Amino acid sequence: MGRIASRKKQPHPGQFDKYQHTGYKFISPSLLVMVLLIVYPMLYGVYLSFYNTNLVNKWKFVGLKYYIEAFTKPEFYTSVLLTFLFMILVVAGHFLIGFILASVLNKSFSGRTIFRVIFMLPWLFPETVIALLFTWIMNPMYGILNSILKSLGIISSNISWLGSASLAFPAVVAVCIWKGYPLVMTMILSGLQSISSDLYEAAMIDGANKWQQFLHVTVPGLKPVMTTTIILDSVWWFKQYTLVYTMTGGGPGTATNLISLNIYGTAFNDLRFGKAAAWGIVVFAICYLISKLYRMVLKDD
Amino acid sequence: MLKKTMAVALAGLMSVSAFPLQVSAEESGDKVDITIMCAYASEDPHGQYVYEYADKFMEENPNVNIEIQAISSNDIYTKLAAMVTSPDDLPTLFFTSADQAPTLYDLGLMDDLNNYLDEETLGTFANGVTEACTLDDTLAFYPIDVQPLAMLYRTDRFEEAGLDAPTTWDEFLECAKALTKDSDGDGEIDQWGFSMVGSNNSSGQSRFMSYLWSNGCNCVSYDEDSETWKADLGDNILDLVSFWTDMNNEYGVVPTGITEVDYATAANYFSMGYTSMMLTGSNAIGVAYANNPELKGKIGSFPIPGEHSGTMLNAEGYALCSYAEEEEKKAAVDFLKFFTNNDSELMFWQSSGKIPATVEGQKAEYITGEDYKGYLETIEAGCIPPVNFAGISGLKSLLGDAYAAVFSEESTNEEAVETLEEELDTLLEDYN
Repeated sequence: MGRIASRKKQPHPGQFDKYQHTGYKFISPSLLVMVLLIVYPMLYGVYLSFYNTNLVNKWKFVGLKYYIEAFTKPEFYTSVLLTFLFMILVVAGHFLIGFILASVLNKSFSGRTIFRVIFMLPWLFPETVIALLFTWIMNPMYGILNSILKSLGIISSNISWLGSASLAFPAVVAVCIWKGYPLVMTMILSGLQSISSDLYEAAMIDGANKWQQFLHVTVPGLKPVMTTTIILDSVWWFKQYTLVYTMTGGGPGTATNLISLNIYGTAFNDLRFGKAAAWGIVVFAICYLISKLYRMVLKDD
Repeated sequence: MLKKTMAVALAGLMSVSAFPLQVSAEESGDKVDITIMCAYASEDPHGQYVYEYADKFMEENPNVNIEIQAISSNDIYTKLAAMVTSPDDLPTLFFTSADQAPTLYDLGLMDDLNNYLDEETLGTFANGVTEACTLDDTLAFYPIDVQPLAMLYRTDRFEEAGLDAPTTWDEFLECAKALTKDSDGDGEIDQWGFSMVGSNNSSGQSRFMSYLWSNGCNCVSYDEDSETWKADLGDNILDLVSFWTDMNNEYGVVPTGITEVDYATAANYFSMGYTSMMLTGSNAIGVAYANNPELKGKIGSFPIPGEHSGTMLNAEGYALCSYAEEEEKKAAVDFLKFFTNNDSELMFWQSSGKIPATVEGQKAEYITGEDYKGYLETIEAGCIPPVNFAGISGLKSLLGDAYAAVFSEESTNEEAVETLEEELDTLLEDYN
């Protein structure tokens, strides 16, 4: 009877009932804000990308010039590839350190709470503060890192960590790993704590060793947490700007010239807004493809 | 009933609280508000005098309210470029230097100060100063000081090493080699000949461009016939880039980690005695004396080596924003006149080491010594006229990318020059 009544209330296809009207009214403020803050800037960005413009008094239509340049000149795609490498290394580092520390902190020992706070500290410091701290630590003239390495006999003369093309990128990656691991650690720790000890007991009774327990109990138990974390962490570090800009400004040369720095410099230093917009659109397309890929991989979940 | 009572009470409270606001708005109706985006104010030790002069001006002109926003020079440029699309928030006055002015002028941000200054005021500026602030017959900014580049050096170390001030870049390199040494005998170099600014930012790029100018490389030049800008790197650009980068990569006469050495670091190295020569404006003299008073009497200066002039007059000052209201502009111009005339002691200029833009200011006692000699000789010999190329910021970026790529050993000199030439052509396409 109830089923029949509910069927009667359904409107014809293409016809709104009063409940749907109410629904649209509820979402309209959010929709309006999203159109103003996301859709309009994006469409305006597409419009700009066809112009050579300083946004004020120079509007020269150039068609697809900047898009063609993006794919034919190495400046753009080397920067995108560098950003991918940066993201992969940083996220991998976060997971490695985060997993180890979360496993340690998941065990019972005295002072565990204090260590949890200490390991969270890098996440609490502002990025600029951390960047400046490490810039001083790695300074080639008076940095403490060189001083320690020299006193240990590992190096004989001062090294310019952020001034050498081969060292600057690993140095920046290391700092970014240090800055970002606490988030991953916290997420994994919460995931570990949500796995019931009964599952481990059952696995032990079935004769599973530690590795098999890890593989067949811990990993499946952590999978939902890890997939969310990996998406959040990847997106966060793909668009990283502050830390890298403060430490190296994208240099030396193009050693740490991530795409976010590149686009910012093109727009606000060189005032070539059209070119920067075109590159931004291409990066958006790349990010969209990545999100599609993630969705395909995670479809089963 | 309770709801009604509360509503009446709240309405009453709101009316009462709105009343004083209304009165204060009426009272401040006669006040003219001036906002100044100021790079001087963010610098030590002279930043304090900007606030002091503003306070004095407000005392004498109670109808004017001045708000100073202390922002570094590079950030002002970026901020203005972003703000120009929503002009309501633009400041009344903003700091600019000669190398940033063409781009900001191209954005239509600068009003013509000729419309606000009389002949008498214009006559107070030293020879060549107003020309250095003029773009297309527009007096684009009000000059506060001039900052031609010259080479600061340690006279005591030159005497000790038996060196004379160099006049060519080859002689300069020989001096730099002689002054690079292990002063404490621990087997490591701890004193370098040249305090190069090797960071890839505006400070480093400007100095590199000066070096190129001094060797006759114009970088870009305006073709009157086609009315377009053209690349003008010259035939020996590879040699010039190689000479500059070899000072680090080959001869090691500049401090370790050169790409990390920005202006502030280079000035500190010089004042702390790590280096003996520095290509800089006279403001580094102020920094040196402030950091190390013992240097007084031990610093001299000489013009940039090379056969050609290597520097613009590099006037700095405040531009009047074209979007400001007329009464704000008038009050702002009054403040600018006050800024240059109110302090007979010239404390702002003296503490900063900057050379005043006025005839009277350039007679000041503090610029008569050996330390300012090279700067005054440079002014006397004549500087490069302002380069009115709107893409100058992009040009400097390309020059910076070139030397930074070689310093970091990411590219060879040949590769860096090849990239520079290609990218310069692309830049000129965008700006022609």
